[in-house]
Amino acid sequence: MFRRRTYLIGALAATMAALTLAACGSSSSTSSGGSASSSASSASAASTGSSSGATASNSVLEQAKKTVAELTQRPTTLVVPPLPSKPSAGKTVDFVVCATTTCQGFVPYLREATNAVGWKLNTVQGGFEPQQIAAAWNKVLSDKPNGVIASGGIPPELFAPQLSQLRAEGIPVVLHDQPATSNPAVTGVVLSDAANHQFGQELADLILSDANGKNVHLAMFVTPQVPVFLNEDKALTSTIGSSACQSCSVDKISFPVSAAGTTLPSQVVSYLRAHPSTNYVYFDFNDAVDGVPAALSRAGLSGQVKMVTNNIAQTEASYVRDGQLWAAAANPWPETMWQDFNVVLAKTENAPLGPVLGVQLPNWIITKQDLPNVSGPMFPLDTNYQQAFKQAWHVS
Amino acid sequence: VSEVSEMATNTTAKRLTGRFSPRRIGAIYVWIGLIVLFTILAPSTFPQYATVQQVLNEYAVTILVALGLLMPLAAGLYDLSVGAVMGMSGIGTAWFLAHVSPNPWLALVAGLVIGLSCGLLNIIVVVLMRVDSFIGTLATSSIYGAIVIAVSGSNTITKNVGGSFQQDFGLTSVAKLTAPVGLMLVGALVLAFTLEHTAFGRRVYATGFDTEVARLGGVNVGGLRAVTLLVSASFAALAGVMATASLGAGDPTVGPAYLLPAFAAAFLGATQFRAGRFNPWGTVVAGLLLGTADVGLLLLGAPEWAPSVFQGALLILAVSLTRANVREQLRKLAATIPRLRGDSHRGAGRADRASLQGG
Repeated sequence: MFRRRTYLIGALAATMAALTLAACGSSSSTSSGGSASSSASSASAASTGSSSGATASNSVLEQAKKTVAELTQRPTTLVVPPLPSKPSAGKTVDFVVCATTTCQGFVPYLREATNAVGWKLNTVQGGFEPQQIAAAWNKVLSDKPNGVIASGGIPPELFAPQLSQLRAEGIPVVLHDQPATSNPAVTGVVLSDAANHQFGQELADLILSDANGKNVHLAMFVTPQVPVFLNEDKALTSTIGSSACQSCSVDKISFPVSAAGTTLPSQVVSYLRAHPSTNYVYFDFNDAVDGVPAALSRAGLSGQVKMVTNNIAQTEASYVRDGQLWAAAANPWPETMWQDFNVVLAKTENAPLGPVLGVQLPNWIITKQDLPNVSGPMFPLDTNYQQAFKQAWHVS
Repeated sequence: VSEVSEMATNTTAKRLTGRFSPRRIGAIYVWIGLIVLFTILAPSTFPQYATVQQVLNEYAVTILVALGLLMPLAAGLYDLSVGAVMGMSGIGTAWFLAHVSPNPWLALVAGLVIGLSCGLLNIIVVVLMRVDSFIGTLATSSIYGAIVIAVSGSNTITKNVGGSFQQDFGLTSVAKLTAPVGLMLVGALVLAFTLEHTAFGRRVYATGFDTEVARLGGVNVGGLRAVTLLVSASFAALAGVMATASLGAGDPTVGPAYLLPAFAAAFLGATQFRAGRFNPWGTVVAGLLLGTADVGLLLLGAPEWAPSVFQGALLILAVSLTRANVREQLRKLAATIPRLRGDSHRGAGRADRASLQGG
């Protein structure tokens, strides 16, 4: 009997501890009216802020509307500064690919770019585990390529010794879609903090102009484990939650990447039931939207909120087409791959890096009105992007 | 006459007390406690039909997987591949819709056939090759996961999934309850009848209690275990098809995430109604308890990790309760039949045995 009681007491204590932990924790932080603050409960998120419906300052709103008017048109103005001369053929570039679907989808576009100047592309599977990453970069060292490109937002600290070795050998290294780094071995970072901040700013402008600068109650579902996304989050929080929009509020709810398509839809339903005045929902990457429209439909919440996300692939395109996803800030993935290679070429051709790294990649906010035909995980925003790069490389 | 009447009254009272004892239906008391707690903490959002609907619609798929686990567990086997089978079936259904036919019913059949094929491979590994079920199904789940990636290319499949297929199986509802809820109830009924009212069910439990005794008693243990693995694969396949319909897309990452909640529901369910014995109604109650806790915590604004902590703690609680119950029963049995003294481990079947051995 004593042993049985010990079992029961131990098990009940574990359950109570779990419940206490759960009850004490908080999933969200709330900001409103320009003063960001953490809150023990997100229950007040939607009700915070002034009830007067004060509009965003005219200049901010006008700027937002102007930006939206420009960004809802398909971009056609990619400008690439020319290299001093045609790059010599027969060289090799290594591409360290991360393990996600999106990363794997980069390969064909980078291959097109390298083929355009007669270079050979080696792909090296980088994975996500530290030992896989180290092995991949050791493989790069043994390949002795003429340039290296890496994707996936993996912190350079994980392959710092290999980067030092590459620098000593004069091999340029280009990273993309990750925070800027001060590591001198990294030649450049494409689609870094500024670009991701831009995606967030575009969506903030879209929401502000749609709501005419007032009464925006935004729920942001974010994944802190992907650091580069924090720039989008910051842009949205600072714009919607700023003093420019006194009647607006922002609530941030974090979730693990693995919740996308599994528990996240139910979490969104629960949140919206608890915060019925929420009128906009943001997801910091597109896969997080999967299953949410159906869950909202089953819960009778369809049409209650306008949902936006960063990036768009087949699934989200179908949601946009069906009116379930309001808008997405499309990512210029093919253009990014060509730009990665452009930086490698500029370095090997001794061109000044400033103008090359300053190339403004296209931006496009996609809504139902201008939805293109999306048949894969990525697509070019500027359909003439290859021509622009080829002209700059003197191979058109 | 009055003595007889008093005895009858006492017997009835004892029976009722036993039937409603917290030892027998402890999870229901915990469930009621949670409902009261959440009603107090979230009075404007929790006590609504929308909550009932959300719990049932969102957790029916998990309970389907858990129901499928019952038969192998009752027969002394672990099937750790159910999450991967669910993923295989889900992505296979989406692939079928995208590349073969948009007919929802054909897609449903395709998903079930894929699941049964996985079940056959499990049988080959566990029953024919005699690999321990824990290791064998872990190995096959790894293979199924790889096939899912190969078939999908790690891409979400949406073509033809969001049309009539999603409408029929994921959105059409009766009283706002969708198809998986009905399947869950039908599945529980079928399993309850099979396990409690057929010779096959008794043989399943007998095999789980003591395989050698069952074999000596004339039970075809290998054949019986093969059937239980097919049953779990079928339920997992059905859950996979329903998850794809609910999602409106074939997502290659869906499946494995259902493994822990399903096991938690099966083990917690084993502590209810038929103490120490895996049973369908206990599993349904346990699944709904987990769902209620999840939804309640999220309505309260608890962090995203809270439901996982709760599920883990509940699993520990369930296994502890089961072991404690079984040990007490064994002690009583040993006291009643002296010759069993010193041999109590042979009777440690049921949920307790399955929790200790992989089969």
